[in-house]
Amino acid sequence: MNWKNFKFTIAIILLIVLTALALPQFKFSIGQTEISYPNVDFSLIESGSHTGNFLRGRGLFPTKEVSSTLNFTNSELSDADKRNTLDNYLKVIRNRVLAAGLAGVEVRSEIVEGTYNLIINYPDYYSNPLKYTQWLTGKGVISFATFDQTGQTGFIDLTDKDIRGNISINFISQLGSHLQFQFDSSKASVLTSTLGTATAQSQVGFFLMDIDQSEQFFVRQYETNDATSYTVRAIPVTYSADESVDKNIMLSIFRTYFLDSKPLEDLFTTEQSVQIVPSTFTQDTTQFIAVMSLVSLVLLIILSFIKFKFEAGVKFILMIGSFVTLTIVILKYSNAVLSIGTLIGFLLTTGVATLMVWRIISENDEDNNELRFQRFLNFSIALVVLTIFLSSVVKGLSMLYDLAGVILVSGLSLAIMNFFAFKAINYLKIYLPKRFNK
Amino acid sequence: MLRRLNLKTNLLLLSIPAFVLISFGLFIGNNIFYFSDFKPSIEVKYSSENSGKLKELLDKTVILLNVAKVDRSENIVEFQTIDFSEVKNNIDNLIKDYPEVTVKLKEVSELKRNNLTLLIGAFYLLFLSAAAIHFYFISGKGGDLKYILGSYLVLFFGITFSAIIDLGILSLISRYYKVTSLALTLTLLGSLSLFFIYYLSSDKVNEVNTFSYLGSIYRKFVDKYNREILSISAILIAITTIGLGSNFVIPAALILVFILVSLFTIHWIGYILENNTNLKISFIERFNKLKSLRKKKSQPQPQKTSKKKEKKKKGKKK
Repeated sequence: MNWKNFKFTIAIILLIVLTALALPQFKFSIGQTEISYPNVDFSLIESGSHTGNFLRGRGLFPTKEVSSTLNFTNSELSDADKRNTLDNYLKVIRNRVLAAGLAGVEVRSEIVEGTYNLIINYPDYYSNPLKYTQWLTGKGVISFATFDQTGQTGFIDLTDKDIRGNISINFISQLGSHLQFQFDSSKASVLTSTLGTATAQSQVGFFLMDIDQSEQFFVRQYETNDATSYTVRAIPVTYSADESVDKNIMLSIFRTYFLDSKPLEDLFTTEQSVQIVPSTFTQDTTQFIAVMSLVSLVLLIILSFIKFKFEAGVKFILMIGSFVTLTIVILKYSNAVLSIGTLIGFLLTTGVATLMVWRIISENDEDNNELRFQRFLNFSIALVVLTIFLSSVVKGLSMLYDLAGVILVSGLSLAIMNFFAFKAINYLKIYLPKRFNK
Repeated sequence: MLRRLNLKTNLLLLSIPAFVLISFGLFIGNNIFYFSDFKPSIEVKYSSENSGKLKELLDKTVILLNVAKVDRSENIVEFQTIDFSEVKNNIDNLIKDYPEVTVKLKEVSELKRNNLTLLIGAFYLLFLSAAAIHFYFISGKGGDLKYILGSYLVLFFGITFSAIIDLGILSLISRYYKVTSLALTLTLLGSLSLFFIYYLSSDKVNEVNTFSYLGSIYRKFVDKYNREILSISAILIAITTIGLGSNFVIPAALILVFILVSLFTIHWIGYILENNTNLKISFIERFNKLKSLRKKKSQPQPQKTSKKKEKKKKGKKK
């Protein structure tokens, strides 16, 4: 077996493995045994992970909506003032959504018959929209209090204005996910008297951090460096490990309270019901979308056979099949969201890949194709770089995020294909009677 | 031999600048988009058990001014670019004849205006970076820098022009169709498709030694591959539209139009570059002609004597 044949064999094995992994999850029974396929789930690596299934995103699937009504503290306000206040709160809540990194979440205000509401819309994969809405529309008042053995709370001379630098979300196996921040050095004595000295970590103390007058965090220090740098760690009081998704979202939202210039002056009352908003487009299942994409591919394959005859047609199937399956596998096992943006991105990059493959298989000169592989590889790298750049610059455009995500993955997939698989498959010689290629 | 520009060529030459100007006019006239997801709106929802009356009222409402969207299944009419009080007055007047119908007015705001500028700005930034990366790749492989820079400018102006024209088309249809984030994203993706078409077409840029040759590369590419590009796009878009239903028809049609605009823009730039010598000569020729005409007008004309006067003169002599 020569080197080219070996590479071709590897490419075909890769295609078979990728096709097997790209298939949607399904179950079948052999006798009494029920078998799930492909049943690849990385939830052991990341708790709460949905890996192995696409998340149901905006556009293609229904969304969830929760309404919060604004209760004005000052009831004497004119309609115009109320309207302005609602607009300001809309900005604050929207900024909280962005700062918390809640992808796909949209906020709008509604004024209906003298009632001033904020409506927060979530894609299907957010599990607890009621809880998230309560957190997002919270006043954001942060206070600290001591806590003794009898369960009594007391005054501590600390406020959120004493915090310096960034508030970060960290994870340590002993503490779980928590907020980490630094107090000003002028508060060293307060911290030492409440939490103990740096040398006595075994007798470490703690105090409470209240959010909107509710005890939400234990605040403590974890390592010697914490004490010397006045760093503390705020650990959520109410969450167990199996609620890690909610816990992470809670930490992300509460962290944004520190970024607000001041707490909200008025209180929002969240309705205790979730409204299901139907999809903008025909509501379909993941399988249906998979079938739709497959039909598009089959049509492109038929067109390629008509255009390039048999040998090149087979090459087209192998090349485009490798690209599509690799893209789907990467998307599927990286918790991708299946939304209208994802679908458009996928179809767009499939179109680009088709044009690339057509250019490759229509060229007979190997040297020209060698150059072309290099150029397509460059193009794929450019796609990856650009989408990383775009998604880091643009915030708050959910559809664009999904789109950018797919273009990024497709760029990566195209780079791998142009580097290896397209090249290997292109050297394929199919020994068929000449009449097939006429 | 100088080549004269015929009417068809003149139209082709003027098309892109004219479309760009018209697009700018449309932006200003429509305040970017007349009806869109990026503006606050007023929703009017009717409810009644008498479906006949409800339909009658809906029919009367949709002919009011500034109706952005009508949802007949939910009996909701959406207004934009109009004051709440004006909508309320209009609806109050209409509803007088329909006591059995209850009406609910809702003011909706989403702060999406910021998204609009962000989206357009981000995509433009993306275009520029794409062009810069492409320039970097090409320039690393030798060739005359002047022409490589020329190819960069083709991409820069091509993307800019096609994006402006695409947005202009969207602005025009925003008078009749409420522009969604999806439609806008597709518009910008349509312009971005130009990047890929350009990329495929600039295979031989490093061998270029004249601007005419550079232009011919792009023009010939579009002429040769436009069917392929359009057929692939059409297949993918048709299947998606069948799958997603009627709401996807307009965005799907738009993306095809925008791909066409991209192809035409590249063809146009290719044509300009390819014929730059002829065009230059033709313009110089026209300019000189105009100049000589002016000169002739400014010079004192030799007095023309009428035949009668000449006859008189001859008579006197006799």
